[in-house]
Amino acid sequence: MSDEFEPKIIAFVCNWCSYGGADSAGNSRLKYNSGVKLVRVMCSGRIDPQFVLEAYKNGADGVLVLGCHPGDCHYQNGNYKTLKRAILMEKMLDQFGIEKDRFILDWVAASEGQKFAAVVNQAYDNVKALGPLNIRTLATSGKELVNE
Amino acid sequence: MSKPKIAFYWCASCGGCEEAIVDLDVDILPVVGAVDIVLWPIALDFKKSDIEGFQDGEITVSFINGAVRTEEQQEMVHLLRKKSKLVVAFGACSQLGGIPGLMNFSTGKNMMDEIYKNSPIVNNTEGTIPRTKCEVDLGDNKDEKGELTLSGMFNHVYPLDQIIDVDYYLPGCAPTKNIVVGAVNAILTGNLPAKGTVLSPNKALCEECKLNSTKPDKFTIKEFKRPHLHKVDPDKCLLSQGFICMGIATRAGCGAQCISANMPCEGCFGPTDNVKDQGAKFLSAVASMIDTDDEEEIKRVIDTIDDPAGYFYRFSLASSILQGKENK
Amino acid sequence: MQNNIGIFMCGCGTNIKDMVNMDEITAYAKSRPGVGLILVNDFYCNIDGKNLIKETIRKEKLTHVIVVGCSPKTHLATFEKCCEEGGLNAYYLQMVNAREQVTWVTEGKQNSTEKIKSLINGAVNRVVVQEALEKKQIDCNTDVVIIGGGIAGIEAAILIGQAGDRNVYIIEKEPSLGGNIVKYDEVFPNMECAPCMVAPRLSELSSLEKVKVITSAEVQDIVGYFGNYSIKVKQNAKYVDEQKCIGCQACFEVCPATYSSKFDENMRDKKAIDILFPGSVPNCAFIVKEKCLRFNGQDCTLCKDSCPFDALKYDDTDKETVVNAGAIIVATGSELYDIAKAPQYGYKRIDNVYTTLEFERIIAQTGPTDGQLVLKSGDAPKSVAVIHCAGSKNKDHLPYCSGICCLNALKASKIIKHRIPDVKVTELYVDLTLPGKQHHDFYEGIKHEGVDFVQLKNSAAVSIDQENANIPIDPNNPAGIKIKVTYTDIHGKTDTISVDMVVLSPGLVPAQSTRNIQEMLKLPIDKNGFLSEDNMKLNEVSSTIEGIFIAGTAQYPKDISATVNQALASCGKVFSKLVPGKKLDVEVMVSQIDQDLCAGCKVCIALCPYKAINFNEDTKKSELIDVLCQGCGTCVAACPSGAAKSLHFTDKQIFEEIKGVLA
Repeated sequence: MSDEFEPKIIAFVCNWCSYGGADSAGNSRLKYNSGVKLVRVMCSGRIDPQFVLEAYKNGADGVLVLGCHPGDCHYQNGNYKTLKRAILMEKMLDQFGIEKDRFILDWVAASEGQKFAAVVNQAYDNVKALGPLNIRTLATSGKELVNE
Repeated sequence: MSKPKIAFYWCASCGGCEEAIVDLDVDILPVVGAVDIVLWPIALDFKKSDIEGFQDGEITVSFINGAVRTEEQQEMVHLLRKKSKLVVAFGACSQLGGIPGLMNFSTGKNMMDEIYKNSPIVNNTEGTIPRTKCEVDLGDNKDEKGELTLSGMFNHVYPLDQIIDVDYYLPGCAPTKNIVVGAVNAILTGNLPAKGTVLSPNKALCEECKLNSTKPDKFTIKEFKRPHLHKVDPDKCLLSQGFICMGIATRAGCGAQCISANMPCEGCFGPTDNVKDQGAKFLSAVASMIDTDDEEEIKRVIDTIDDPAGYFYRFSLASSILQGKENK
Repeated sequence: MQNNIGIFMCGCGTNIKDMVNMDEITAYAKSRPGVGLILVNDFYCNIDGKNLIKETIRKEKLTHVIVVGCSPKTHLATFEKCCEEGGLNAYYLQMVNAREQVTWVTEGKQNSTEKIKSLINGAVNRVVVQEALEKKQIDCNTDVVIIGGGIAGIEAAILIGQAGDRNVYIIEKEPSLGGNIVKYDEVFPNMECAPCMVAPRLSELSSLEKVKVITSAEVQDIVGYFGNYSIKVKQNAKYVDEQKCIGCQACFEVCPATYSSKFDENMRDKKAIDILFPGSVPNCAFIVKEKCLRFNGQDCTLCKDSCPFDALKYDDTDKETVVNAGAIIVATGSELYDIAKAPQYGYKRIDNVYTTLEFERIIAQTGPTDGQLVLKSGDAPKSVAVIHCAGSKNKDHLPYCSGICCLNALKASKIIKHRIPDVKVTELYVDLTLPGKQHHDFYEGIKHEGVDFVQLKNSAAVSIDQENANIPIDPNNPAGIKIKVTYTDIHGKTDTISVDMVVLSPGLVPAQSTRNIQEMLKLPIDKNGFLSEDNMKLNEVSSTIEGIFIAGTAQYPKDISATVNQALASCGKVFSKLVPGKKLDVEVMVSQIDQDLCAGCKVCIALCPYKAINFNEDTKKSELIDVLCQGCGTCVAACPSGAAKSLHFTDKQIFEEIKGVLA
């Protein structure tokens, strides 16, 4: 077993576009690291920021949110809400010390197997370069004192 | 039959929750008459050894306010837990971590440096910070030395329920009179809901706010505003004007007092039951109401919120999903 | 009750089985809490596999099922059916995508094995907090209301009326059906006689028992949802009995009052008791109350006295009725852009400058000049300029192309040339938009008739002024006033021509009625104000609100054939979805707003593209109409107090899946 850091990545994908894109990547036998695991929702608009935080808390080193291209959302405009939330999330995550490369928003259509693999692989490599995400709860579970 | 014993204790707090008890004013008298207060550091001179002398569960209820950040507080709350039938987390700091919890955006070391070394009004050239032990002279004899110990401070701030088992929560900074009186009566009459309940309505503040009827069906927010930089229209929903009012993501029970004073809600009552992370939920709602689909415009509107983490987690950081910033 | 999860591991031939360590996976899966059994099989999607699942559910009394195999997009429906046939609610199923998203994309057997284990853990965590959901159906009214009596509305009413299986109501604001098509004399490209084309359709419509025509009527309010709409209609009094009047026009002759005829683009006055055009449906006169002497205080009974059928009803009143229907087809159309907003074209400023619609009325036999192509002075023009793209493709006016104005302009030239063979006609165009089966030939034909074509630099590169503007008009020689058309052509050369008459071809904008209905129903619109369709390629006839269909130029400018196609397509939607005797299937995985938890913060209302959330002014809470909900969950993600819930994709289920997959 290698000592090398293998990031854990969660990708939230929407049923109609990006999940289909992931399947397309499969049909084309494109490869990406098995550290990437997908959680399916019906629309990227369903993705609650709480899900993203819960992913980090449970060990994800990086989180991807992948939806339909703007204008193509199966539910008209769910992806625009996702876009707004993601922009604000990115700003706020920075204040939590979570680097930009650990939270990715992108658009992948059902036929875009190549794009899916490329986005996921790039995210994986970027997160790997950053190292593991040490969130606060793990670091302070020992009730370390500051002033001994 | 002896009167039920109640205890008040404070951890990392501002004293406002003690004020809240005093603010009950005449309503406190029947309570005081009906109970035996066995601990209340701000007002009465009971000692830790008094509490240690009780049987387990002998105290009917302990109201503990403040967040836990020192060894002493940790020890005291464990003691009170042992000796009490019920423990009520009193106030936002105890329930959520509160304002002290904001230290979790930094580190204990940084905090010590800021307060004792870097503050512009402090002259501390030796860089002295409080330590957990130091040597002191014993009496007049300079040859006899002793060790003075002080409680250690943790690098992290904890809400009460991350340290001990909590039975009920009284939310608020500070809890308002109505919910405190309601809770005390419920305890004294044994009329309590399920363990773990927050003793305030499980609904967002909008329900109690007199400005809710002025809210449009669609929010058309094109910029966010800070109340000291813009004129607040007292007759229109503050959020719809662009002020960051946390009321939509905050539990009701306070009667929307802050809004009545033209100040947007800061979220001190914490989230409702179905929400894990008040800050994240508020972010989701407020981002969704930005009135443009153009990416550049969206960024411009979001830039008008200068401190999202601070606003959205003002009281709840320590109890949120991430609990704070990566502790590097 | 104890959980008893059955995990069906599909080997998927060699696609999964040979790519993983099956024993390790099954051992791990068996160790998960609540898991009762693991069954490995080569294929679960064939008959034997499906039967195995069904039998196992029954035999082992499974409480939950997980199928580890291919993508749910391939076989979710298959396995949901297995569950139902095995006696288990289909929503206790979860699939793990071990093929498209693991074995086909992962390097290394061990890596695939580990990933599948994680995904199974996520599925186990999730499935035990899933809830049973029942398929929902609602009763529905299959009747249809068509708003708008132009050609779209007429054709839709005929198609549905001919089926005879439901009532169809066609509501028109004017006193007669017809819309714009009845204002034309000839239509491109074959120059068919428009009245001859439309009359038999109107006749057909009148003969259909199930079609109820309500004219002089406007929709006041629409409440309800797909399958159950209530439409409040106000019918203005005509003061003539529709059952008795045969349209003999005896009353017109004696009427002393007049009104400016909107049908004729206000180019002439007609009597204050009128019929829009010969062959109107209903064929019934109407009194224009604002101009009628009697309704303005005088005791005039001339029309009543002249009527051989006693059809006059002075005591007629406006009526309000409520029509119930299951679907609504919005066919309220468009109108010409008010080109007076672009002063460079001289419209309403200079005599003899007309729009294409005014031109239609001039050359119409029943029009203000009895079909004579004449100037205001009464003389025939000797030269005409026809200007394309008036106000179109211009960001200060209409930024878009309406697609039919070029053909209308060409038609004008053709008509002018036919009526007055030696008139000089100049067409000034920008680009020629000529889609359609014979439309290019139409243009070629006109070129051969001696019409001059000048290509403009852009749509704004033309201006119209009076020649010698300072010379007062000599009433004895009004024809002497010429119009100066100044333009810059595609090569950058500026020139002027002198003409007697100008015909402007502006683009279309949504009609006022379209705007009214849009506001009433809160129908989404595009950036030009036209009604938004559900999908521009595959579904132009559905709005985004379930049960409201759109047809004709209310959706976007188009010609008659495209309009009729849309009208018929919207009928197809109605026939398919609202079947008499059948209940309406409703989406199962909808969102819900708990009324005990909702504080009425209104964050969710504007977020729903299907208008499925309303604010109840009585309870002061947001209410979700599950019949309209499509289950996207956007409102649930936004709800800041957690009062909204997304069925089958609840917060709890997703949190559990996240935790399980990362463990």
